[in-house]
Amino acid sequence: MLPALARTARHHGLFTKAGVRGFASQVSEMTVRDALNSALDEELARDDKVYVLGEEVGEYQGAYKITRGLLQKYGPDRVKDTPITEAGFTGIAVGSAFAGLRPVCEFMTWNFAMQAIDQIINSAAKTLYMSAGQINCPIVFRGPNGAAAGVAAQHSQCFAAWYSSVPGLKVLAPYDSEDARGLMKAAIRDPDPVVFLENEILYGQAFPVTPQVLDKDFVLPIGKAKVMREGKHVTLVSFSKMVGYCLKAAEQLAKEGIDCEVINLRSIKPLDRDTLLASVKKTHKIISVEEGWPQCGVGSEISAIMMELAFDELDAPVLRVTGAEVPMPYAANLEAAALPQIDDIIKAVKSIA
Amino acid sequence: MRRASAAPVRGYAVSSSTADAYLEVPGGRVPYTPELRFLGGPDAPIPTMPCYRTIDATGQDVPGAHIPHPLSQDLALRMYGAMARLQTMDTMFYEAQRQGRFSFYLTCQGEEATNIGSAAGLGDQDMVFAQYREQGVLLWRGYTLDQFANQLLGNALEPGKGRQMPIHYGSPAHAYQTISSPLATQMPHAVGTAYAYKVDRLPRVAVTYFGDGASSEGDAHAAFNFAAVLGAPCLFVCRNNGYAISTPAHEQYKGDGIAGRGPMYGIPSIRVDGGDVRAVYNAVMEARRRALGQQPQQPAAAGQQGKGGGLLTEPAAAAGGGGGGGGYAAAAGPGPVLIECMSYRSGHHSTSDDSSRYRTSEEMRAWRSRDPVARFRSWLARQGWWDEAREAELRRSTRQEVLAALDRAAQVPKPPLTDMFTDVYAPIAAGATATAGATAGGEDDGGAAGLLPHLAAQRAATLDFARRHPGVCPPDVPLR
Repeated sequence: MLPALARTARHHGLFTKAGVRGFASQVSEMTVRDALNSALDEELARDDKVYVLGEEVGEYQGAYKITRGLLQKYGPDRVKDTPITEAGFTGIAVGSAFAGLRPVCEFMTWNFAMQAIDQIINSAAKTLYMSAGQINCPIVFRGPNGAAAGVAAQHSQCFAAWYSSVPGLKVLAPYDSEDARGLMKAAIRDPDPVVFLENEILYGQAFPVTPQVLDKDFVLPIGKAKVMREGKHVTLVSFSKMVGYCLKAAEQLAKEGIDCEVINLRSIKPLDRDTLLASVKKTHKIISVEEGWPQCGVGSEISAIMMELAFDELDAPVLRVTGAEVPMPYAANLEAAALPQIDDIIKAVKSIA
Repeated sequence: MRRASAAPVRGYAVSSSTADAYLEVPGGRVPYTPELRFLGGPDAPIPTMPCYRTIDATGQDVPGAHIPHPLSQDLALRMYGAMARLQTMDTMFYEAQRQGRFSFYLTCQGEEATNIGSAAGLGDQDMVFAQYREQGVLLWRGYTLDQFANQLLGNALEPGKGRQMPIHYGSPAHAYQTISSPLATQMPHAVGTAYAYKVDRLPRVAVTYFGDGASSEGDAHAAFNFAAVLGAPCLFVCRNNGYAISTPAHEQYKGDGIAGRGPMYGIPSIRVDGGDVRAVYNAVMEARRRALGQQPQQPAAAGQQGKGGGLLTEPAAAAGGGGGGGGYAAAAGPGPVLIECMSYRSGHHSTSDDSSRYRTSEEMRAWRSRDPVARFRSWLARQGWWDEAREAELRRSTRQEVLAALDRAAQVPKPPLTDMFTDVYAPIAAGATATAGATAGGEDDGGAAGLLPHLAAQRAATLDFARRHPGVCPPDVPLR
């Protein structure tokens, strides 16, 4: 068993995947933190071109402990603590990727990546195109995205919409531990620059994982969404932490006879239009849920796609449940009011159900 | 109070060695001083770093110059040939832009020695991260006039597929990274590549060129600091040509230029006369050795050009005075080196600029008379290695070659419309599973193979539209 799993394994005799028997039904639990840590560990072991850099990733074991143990295991050439300069270490990571290394560049939060956004977009995203296919940039940018708890405006912004508009980037947002492992491995193995949007609140949350997920070559396809819960009355589409909120809303709505289909995007770019369209063909109603701001958010893109490609399928307008259009306030009650809550999702569903 | 009896450190009185003479902090060991004194600034200016030069303004050898790498006749003629071709090529391409043959150009007039001298000192595999005024480095490495012309016209032979503005050259075959427009972003890239070379134990350096203006960018500071911390074998070559578009250098910084900053980052630094191609060449050769952690070259024996005395090598530990303090010493082993080449931007910033709006014609005339190409020509003539007949022939033949290259490039069609959609992402190999739903060949015309589905769909829609509206696509742009 993997060291990370040995720390967190708990067997749930109750929890079996439908149709799976014997060893394959042996499901254990793993936190998202451990899922990310184990994925990084395995990829560092698999390919010696892979290395991790960022502030506090080494000696401190990671600001959020995602890189715990890696410096001790792989040494300072593979796990690099950097001076405090996002623009600097991002540019250096990009330059090393141009030369054939495969960096995993951590931002303490995606808010601080704004100090490096030129390197991410003008250098990493666009260079393959501008060099007409001659210069690759196989880099993963990762870190916590979106709201945490009581960290106010400069630590709480969601960047999914911004990065997902840039051609040349792939943008991933894991929800559970299966997502975290499979998408992180896919990102590291991908030849293109990948923006990997984690969530601080989810780091400590444990999710069931099968032996298949724990396999060291478990890779999820980029550009494919996952139907977390099938339903027939309305489609809820989301990513990251809001997937959990949608699932809880669906549970409550089920008691009132409203059957929700919950889709976990996993990949914001490329966006899995086919899964969304197939769902809307079934339910004829769709609501997008995100933490970020409403104007030009991910929900705006989903609305446009539905209008252009599924107009005749819709029995109601596409709704967007989003964060309030304010810089995130600090006070706990204000923060809760500024973010979508389960009740907001329920209210939105009932307005069109 | 104990009297200060040790030698002063940078002018400060320090206590003699006692247990209490030093402050030990995580950053290192710092000697105490009882003096309240500020270093730097108008009250206590730090001396300006002098400028290394081996050939004077009239083309004569500077007596006593250190020349660890003397120029053979062969190498000198090759360098001069490149400088003269560069100068002629620049002039003609500039004129071609004014005539409307392509949209943009910028020359490196006044900096030919910086370009060629530095290029000649590098290894062929040393990856160059240039800013935009280093076409001479490409020329030195064998980029042909046809290749220059193709890029400027953005035609189908251009390996960049017409995706970039003119002068944004790139050629992996010549170890020249594609030019990127935002200033100074290439500096951390170079450090990252140098770090990769170090990790892979390759005997190469990464080189980055940048101007006096670009050195103000935040990326420059991060690159300097980081390169030193990482011990990355990176050469920083600053082209201090006096102007950043209209901003003169004295409005760009208030310290001792760019070379003056290097030692404070822990980077061995030198200031060079950028108009003296032999000085630039020697500085780069020595910088490269230091960057790789090699021993400096000992000077040539007396009797060769310039009598070399001892090389100015200061072992790291001896830098900075005082008893055993260590000072601001760069570590031994691979690491960055900074070279500031002082020159003058004789031409306008680019074809979009008219510098007569911000500088006097007297100033420009004065600098034109210090043309580095003329200076080296004069030196060559003194060696008996060059004459007017050869000069005339070189210029004439270069002019013809440039004109012919432009004419040939103009005949080549533009890249096809369908090239617009490739290289956004790496191509999906047939059978690859990493990305869902990718088309791995087998599209309507096979050309969408390897594109992600949304790009394949856009390509198909664009082709369809262009076929149904033939007038929309310009005649020299094929569909595919």
